[in-house]
Amino acid sequence: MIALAALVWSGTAQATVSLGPVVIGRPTVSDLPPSRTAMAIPFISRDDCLQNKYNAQIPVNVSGSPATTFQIWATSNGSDCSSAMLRDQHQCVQVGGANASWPINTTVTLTARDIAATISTVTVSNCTDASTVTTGENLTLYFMALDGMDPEPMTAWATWQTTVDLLGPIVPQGVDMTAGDELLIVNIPATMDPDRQGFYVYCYPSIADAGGPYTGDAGVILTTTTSSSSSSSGATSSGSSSGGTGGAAGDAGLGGAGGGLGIGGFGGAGGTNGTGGAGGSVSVGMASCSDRIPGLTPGQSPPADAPVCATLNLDATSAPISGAANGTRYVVALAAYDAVNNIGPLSTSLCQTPEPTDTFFSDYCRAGGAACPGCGQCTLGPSSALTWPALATAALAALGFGVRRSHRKAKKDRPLTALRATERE
Amino acid sequence: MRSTWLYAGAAALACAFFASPARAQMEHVPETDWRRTDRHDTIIAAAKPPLFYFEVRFGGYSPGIDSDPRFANLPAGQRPYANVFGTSLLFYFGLEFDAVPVRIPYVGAFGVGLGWGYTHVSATANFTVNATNASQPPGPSGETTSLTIMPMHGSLVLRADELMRRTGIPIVPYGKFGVGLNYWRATTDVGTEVYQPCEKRPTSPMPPACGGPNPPPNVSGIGLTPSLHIALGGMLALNFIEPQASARLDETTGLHHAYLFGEYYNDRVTLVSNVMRVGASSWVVGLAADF
Repeated sequence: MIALAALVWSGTAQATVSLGPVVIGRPTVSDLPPSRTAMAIPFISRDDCLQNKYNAQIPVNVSGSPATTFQIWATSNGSDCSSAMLRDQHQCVQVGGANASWPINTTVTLTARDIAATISTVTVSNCTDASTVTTGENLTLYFMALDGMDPEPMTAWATWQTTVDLLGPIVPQGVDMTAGDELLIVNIPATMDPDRQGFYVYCYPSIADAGGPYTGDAGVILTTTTSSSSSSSGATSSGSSSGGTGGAAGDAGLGGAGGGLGIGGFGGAGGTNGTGGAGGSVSVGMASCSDRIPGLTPGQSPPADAPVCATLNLDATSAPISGAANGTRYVVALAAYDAVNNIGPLSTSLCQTPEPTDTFFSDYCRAGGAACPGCGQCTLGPSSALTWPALATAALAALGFGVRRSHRKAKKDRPLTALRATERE
Repeated sequence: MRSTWLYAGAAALACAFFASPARAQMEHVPETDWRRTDRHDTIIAAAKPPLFYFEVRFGGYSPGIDSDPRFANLPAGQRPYANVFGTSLLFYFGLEFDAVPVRIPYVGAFGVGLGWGYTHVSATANFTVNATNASQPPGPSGETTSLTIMPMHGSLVLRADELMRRTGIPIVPYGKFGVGLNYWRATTDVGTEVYQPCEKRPTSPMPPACGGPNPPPNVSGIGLTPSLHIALGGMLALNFIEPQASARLDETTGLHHAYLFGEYYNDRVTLVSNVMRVGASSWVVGLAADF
């Protein structure tokens, strides 16, 4: 629970409106950005709005004033809402609707939608925001004591701040994907977006249940842009080692399934009556494709409960996703998320098929390299005819050097030893 | 070509001029000359011999992985290292610290040294087969394959600095002999590479043992390679460039000499079988100091 210390401000010496500790009725979100935790300003995320679970409990106490009710006004542009003139100029919006008021000395409960509705670009029915600012709107709420319904003069007021952030970060641009051995590698260009905290990666099939070669049954994953005729054509084509011929007809042919090696063919750009589908989506870069992940639509924010196959942090520019099955064609898309877990629009789909690669150590082992199968079978022994003779020579040299030094030292000490012997006699 | 000779001549002159004032003091006085004392041995004794050397090393590195006799029947370009990383020299960086407490008269300083180095090579892994057209060579994947080597050694070191101390010729030959220990690690984008002998591959059959009760285990791409370490080199003392500044540096910090050095070393003779031959036989250059 987030508790906010009261901010007390008095307009006159006699009248005071004070706000007690504010309790926000929702689970604590642990990933608040430092700027927001430091200021202890609670926020309203899109999920708060959708579930309308914000429920800020705000105790309001008025003393030293003839006021009988109070109103709550909100501004996002820093206007002084205690000024009736500014309120009349629509610089401020009344919370709860026109002429909404509360009795004094009570606890006001404000929901997320009550507060979000004061922002002109927000549609609270579906919690969308037409604004282009993804970092949210800072709101100042004015709790103003009223003498009856007379808007002027306000005898006293107090303010409270919050932030309404219903938008996720902008859609990732320029994202690409490559494939390796049981591996998908997502490449993200480094771009500045102050709202972005990281990326969610969505995969189809999911990496966990990926298995077996891609069947070419495009109907499962293609929802648009590909006609059924081209899909079925692709599904039935095959080849001995490469992808099959794409759709024989249709606007965009889909490549056929792989042949004996299980290499999935992938969509070609077949025109009407065209023969699309050069098999195998193994080219580096330009992995963009028209396929879609079931349940997700490019350009729209994925639901919060959509299964994620990887989470990338803010600094990631190249992210390997391991555990993919070779020969299985994957459709991958990304969406950025912000500090309050608003998920931005989904990127365009990327398609790749992992295949075996020739990496150094595996090549080394397959060629029969001595280090395989590992040092569990290491044996101490010469690997060259030179080894032991060289070691033996070195040992003899060291021994000889030591003996020589020992003899010289004994020789140097001899007169003294002889002298001592004489003295003893 | 002409300028090369000019530089060589200038360097030789510099050495000569450096040695001149020292030589006058260092010459032995004939025993018949009773008016002058022989200061040669006094000066030598007064000069503090170095106890420690420190080296910063740079050079090319060509690991001898493909020299494994098991690859002898493969063409040079198809051996594992050359096939994946090519044959270019890698950049090598190293540090070495020597303690030389023993002085051998008329030879130099003797002691032990410890060295550490680092080199790394990385390449894009090719697909095993061309999925588009099996008759064509496969293209590059998005996967990176890398090899990191840290050559280390512990050696006996002999630095023959008496030539410089007694004659003023600013050259110190040296040699090292000891044991090398080369740490290596093969990685891909997801970390240390693991060889899976029973992995199904389109181009190579699975080993028969994979179907048996005791299939071969996976092998992690990380290891140590013990080897002999042999090095020979020479150091050029740079004090002649600024003799006075060098003397001040010696007085204030105890740093006697700064050197430019070149060294040939060999780590290729392994002491243990069944290891990857990551040792190299190469040249390094660098800067050194004694104190």
